[in-house]
Amino acid sequence: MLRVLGSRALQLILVVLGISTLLFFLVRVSGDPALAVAGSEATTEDIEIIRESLGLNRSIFEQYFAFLIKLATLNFGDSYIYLQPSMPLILEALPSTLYLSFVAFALAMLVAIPAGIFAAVKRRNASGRFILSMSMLGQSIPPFIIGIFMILVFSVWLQWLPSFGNEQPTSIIMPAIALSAVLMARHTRLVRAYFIEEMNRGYVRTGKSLGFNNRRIRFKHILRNISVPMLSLIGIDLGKFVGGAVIIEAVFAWPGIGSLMVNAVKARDYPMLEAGVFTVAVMVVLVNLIVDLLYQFVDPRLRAKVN
Amino acid sequence: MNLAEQKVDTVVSIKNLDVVFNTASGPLQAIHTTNWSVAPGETFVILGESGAGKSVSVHAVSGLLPSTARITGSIEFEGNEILGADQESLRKLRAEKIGVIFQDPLTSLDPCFKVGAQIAEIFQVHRGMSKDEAWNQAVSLLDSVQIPDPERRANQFPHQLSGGQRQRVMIAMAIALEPKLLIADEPTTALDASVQVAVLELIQRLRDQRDMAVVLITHNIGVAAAIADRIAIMYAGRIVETGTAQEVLRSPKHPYTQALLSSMPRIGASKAELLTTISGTPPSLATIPSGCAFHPRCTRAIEKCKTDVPRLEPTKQSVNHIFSCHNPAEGA
Repeated sequence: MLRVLGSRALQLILVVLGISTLLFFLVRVSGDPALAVAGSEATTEDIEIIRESLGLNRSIFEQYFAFLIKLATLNFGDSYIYLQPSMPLILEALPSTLYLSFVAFALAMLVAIPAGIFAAVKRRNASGRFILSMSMLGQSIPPFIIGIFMILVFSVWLQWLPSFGNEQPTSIIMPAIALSAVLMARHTRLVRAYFIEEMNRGYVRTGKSLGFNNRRIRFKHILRNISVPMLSLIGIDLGKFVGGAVIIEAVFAWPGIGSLMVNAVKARDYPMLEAGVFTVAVMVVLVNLIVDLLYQFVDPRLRAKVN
Repeated sequence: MNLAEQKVDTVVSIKNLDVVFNTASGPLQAIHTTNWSVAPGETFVILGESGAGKSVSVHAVSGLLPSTARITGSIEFEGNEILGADQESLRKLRAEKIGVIFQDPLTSLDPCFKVGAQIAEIFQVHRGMSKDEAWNQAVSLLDSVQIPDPERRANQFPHQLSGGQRQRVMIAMAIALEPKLLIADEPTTALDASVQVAVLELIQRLRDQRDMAVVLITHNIGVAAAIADRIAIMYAGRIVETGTAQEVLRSPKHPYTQALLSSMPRIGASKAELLTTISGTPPSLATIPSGCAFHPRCTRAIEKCKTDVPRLEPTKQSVNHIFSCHNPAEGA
C-alpha cells in the first residue's frame, strides 16, 4: 500500500509539472499580456513599463526558471487584474467549484444507475428504447447549450430560478443539471451495456438455478459486478468533468475557479491561469488516486494481488 | 392411475419432449420427442457430441432455457406435471428440489463475493437463517464436499481456489437444500484429469448418502463409463440408443454408438489398430438431415435411412436396451 502511495505521489508531481510547463509555453505563444493589462489607450512606453514590471522582457528561459520556483513554492504571483496573490483567490473559489461538481456528479449517478438498469431489463420494450435514445440525445447536446436553454426557460420566461451566481439555495439547480447532463447520459448507456453483458454471466444462471428472485440477482450480484468497470470509467470521466465545469461556471456566472480561469484567459492573466491550472491538475490526479484505491476495494481479484 | 403408487421410484420423467427455439431466422427444433426418467439414487448419463441437445433436454427440467424456448410434451417431477405450472411455484420447486452444477465453476460463481457468503446466501434466502447461522452452515457444507480447511476457504474468493475446489463449491451450493435431483452439466470438462475422478467420486458419494437422482451430461465416454447406471446416446436432438451402462457400452447396437466407442483410444491396443474416426461433422440444428439424422455419416446407411426416421425399439436381449436403426449390424 505504501509503495502504491509513493509511486502515486511521484506521478502527481510529474503530471503537475508536465501540465504546468505545457501551460507556461502555450500562454506565452498566445499573445502579450501587457497589451491586455495596459488597455487600448496605452502608449508604447506604458506597455514597455508594464512588460518590465511583469518580468516579461526577460528571456523565455529566465521566465521559465522563475516559473519553476513559483511552482515549487506554490506562489504564482499577483493576478494582473485583481492585483492580489493569485493562489489564495483560486483556493477561495475552490469550494464553490467542488460543491457544484459534487452535486452534478451525484445527480448524474443517481439518475444514470437506475435508468441504465431499467433500460437494460426493458431493452426489448419501448420504455427501454426511449431511455436509450434520450441518453444518446443527452450526450450529443453541448452542456452550455443546455445551460442557455434552461436560463431562457426557467429564468427569463418562467422566472422560477436565478440565472446567475450562487447566493440562493436554488442557484445550484440549473448549473448542476447542465453540468451533469453529459455524464448522466453517458453513464446511463454504460450501465445499460454493462448490465446486459452481465445478465449473460454464469453466476446469474447459478442464481436462477438457486431460485433467487430477479431483484436479488440484479441489485445484489449484477450491480456489484458492474461497479468494477464503472468505477474505472468514472475515474476517467471526472477528469473531463472539470473541463465541463469551467464552461458551465462561465455560463451561469458561478463564482468558482472556472469563472476565474475564463476571465484570466480573456485578460491573459498568467499568474491566475497558472494557479488555476495547477489546482485543477492536482484535483484530477487526486480523484484518480482515490478511484484507484477504491478499485482495489471493489474488485477482490485486485485486492489479492496487492496484499 | 394412482400417482403415489406409480411414481414412487421416479424423481423426474420426461415424455415426448419437444423443444423449439424461436430465432430471428425462424424456429429451430433442438429436441425431438425425447423420453427419459431417473430414479432416486440412480445416475443417468446423457452422452453425445456438442450440439446434440443434451443440455437442452435437462435444462427444460431445470428451467434455465432462454425465454425463446418453446417446450411441449410432459415433464413430471415426483409425479406432478410441471410443464405449464405457474412461474413462482416452479421457481420454488426448482430451488428446493433441483440442484444444478455447470461446466465452468469459475464463471458460475460470483467473482465479487466470498464463496462462504455465496453458499450462506442460499440458507438466508430459502431457510430464513441469520447471517451467522447461514455462514456456519456453509462452512460445514464445504466440509461435507471434502474441502480441506473449510473455515479458511469460506473466507476466500472464487479466484483464490483451484478448479477442483471451485467445482466442489458449486456442488455444495447445488446440494445445499438437499435436492431430489442433481443435474450435472459437463461437470468435469473444465477440470484437470486427476481432479475429474475425485469430483465424480464426490458426486457418487453424495448421491448414495442422500439418495439423489443424478442426471449427468457429458461428451466424454470415460466419464460416462465411470459413473453411469444408465446411459442415453443423443444425436441431432434425438436419443438414438439407451440402456444400462453395461448394455450400451459393452454391446452397442446403433452404428453411431459403435462408431463413438471405437473412436476411444484403448490401452494395450496394437499400433496397427488405428483409432477410427467418424467421418463428417455433427449437423447443426438448422440443417438436420432427413430420415435418420446420422445417415450421411453412417457406413451402414440404406435408402430407407434417408427418408424415414427410425423408431426406438428394444434389442432381442433386453427390453430396456432400446435403439433406433433401420439396418443394424448382425446380432442386434
